[in-house]
Amino acid sequence: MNPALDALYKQQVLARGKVPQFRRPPEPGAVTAVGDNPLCGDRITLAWSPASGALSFEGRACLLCVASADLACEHAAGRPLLRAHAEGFLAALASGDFGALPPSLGAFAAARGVPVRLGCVRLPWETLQRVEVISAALAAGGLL
Amino acid sequence: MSAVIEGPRCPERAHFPALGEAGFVYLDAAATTLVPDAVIDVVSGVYRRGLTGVHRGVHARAAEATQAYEDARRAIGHAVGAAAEQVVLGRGTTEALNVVARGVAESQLGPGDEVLVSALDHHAHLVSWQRAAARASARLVVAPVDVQGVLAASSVVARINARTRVVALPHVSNVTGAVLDAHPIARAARAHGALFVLDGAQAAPHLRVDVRELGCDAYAFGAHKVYGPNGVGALVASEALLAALPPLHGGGHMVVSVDETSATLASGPARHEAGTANVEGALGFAAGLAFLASARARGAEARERKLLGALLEGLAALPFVRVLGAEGPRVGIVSFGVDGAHPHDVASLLDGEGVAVRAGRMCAQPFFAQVGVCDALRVSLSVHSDEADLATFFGALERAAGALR
Repeated sequence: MNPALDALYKQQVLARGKVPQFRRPPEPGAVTAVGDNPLCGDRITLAWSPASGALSFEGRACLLCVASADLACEHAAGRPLLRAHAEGFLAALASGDFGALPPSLGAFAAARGVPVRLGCVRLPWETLQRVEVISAALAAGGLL
Repeated sequence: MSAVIEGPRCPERAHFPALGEAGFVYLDAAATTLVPDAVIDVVSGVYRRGLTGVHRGVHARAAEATQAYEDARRAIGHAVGAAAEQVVLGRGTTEALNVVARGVAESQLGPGDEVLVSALDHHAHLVSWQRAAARASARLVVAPVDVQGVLAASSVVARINARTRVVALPHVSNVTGAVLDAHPIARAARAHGALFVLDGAQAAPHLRVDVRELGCDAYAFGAHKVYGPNGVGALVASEALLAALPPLHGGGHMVVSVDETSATLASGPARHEAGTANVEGALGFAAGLAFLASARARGAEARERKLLGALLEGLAALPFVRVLGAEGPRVGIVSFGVDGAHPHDVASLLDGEGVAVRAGRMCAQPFFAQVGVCDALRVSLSVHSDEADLATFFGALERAAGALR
């Protein structure tokens, strides 16, 4: 009935959601932020290691959220500006223009046609933004 | 799916214009029922006729509106065995429960008193009493469910004592569909002088409710689960209780006289009905109940029992499905999990095949915490549900599970 659903749950997203590559405990000394989806109660924790730049995530979430978190970790790892990277994805999700982003992230463009599930895809990237905010606060306080 | 065999379509379907779209399977009646033509006609008729000014205007249409509104109140009360004087019309079940909880907190609760609720309560009931207990510095006591998610009457009764002022429970669970064994609880509450308040939101669509027979002091239910419109519901309580409760809202219609610094409150239901009456809502509510009664006369209850059996049997045959709740009196509401798949993903894939179900924690987070389950899918039946709906549902469920697991 909704072709966007078929497009959203296509193989790439299913594969990432079923077997995520970056779902693991945070590295020692990692900065973490928690993201909640009040609609369904899903909760993920995103972790960024200042030492290695690696990103990982943990938590219980739907397949779309897990796939989105996994790709967020893959594409943002090692980047100095996590927030800007997240903003780029969220802007693409709002506009539908994924041209400037890695092709694998374009799989989420279909979420625009399933508004009730947009929050699932957005959650990891919004959490990623908070990781940088927390990191900056820790650095300013001499704690990082 | 072999457990369910397609048969002729349910004749009740013809009453629901929303079912006109081919392939649409609506199994989310516990959230909101679809609205039949008879109700749509009544609601739109209020606008077409220009029925305004209930209890306000002196013109003919206002008099007609007032008469229709009070007739609707009488019909709504009659549907659950109550007199019109016992029926307060408001925005829905949630507001009705808040009227009781806030009113009791302000007039009948104090430090040392206990309010007994359960882990099975919908947030509308639970949170209302959490706030009431906190407001009055009373103690909130929560009757737990067992590992299968069953709220035993004996567990509730064991927690009623001389300090208990209120026992607040769901008549039917919005998660498991289990029907509360209300009579022993009503007797225990009465023996200790406690108010017995029932959330009837999920019972009214499935059971023939009689508040006198139940022995409760207050009963709340909403129109949008009994084939009526959104935004209107009823609090049914004794006239004495309604008179004793301070009103939740202040405004027009709920006063006898007002001066610059004070107001004399009205008696009867009007005391709790501040503001302009939702006349189309009330008439639609009564029309929804009338439709439900007519559907029952056409065999809706027997069809629901048969379908519920087929639904439970079909789910039990799927090795990857875990149904919440246990055997016992229940209505056509069934929640379940799919091993290895998140309910929202399953619900989205079902939606992709035109099947509407609910996914999540159904506004019952304490229940899910107690049974150790994060969330679930919920299928709920209505008078128009039929075997073909279940066949479509089971086919879509197996495909979704195959894709996601």
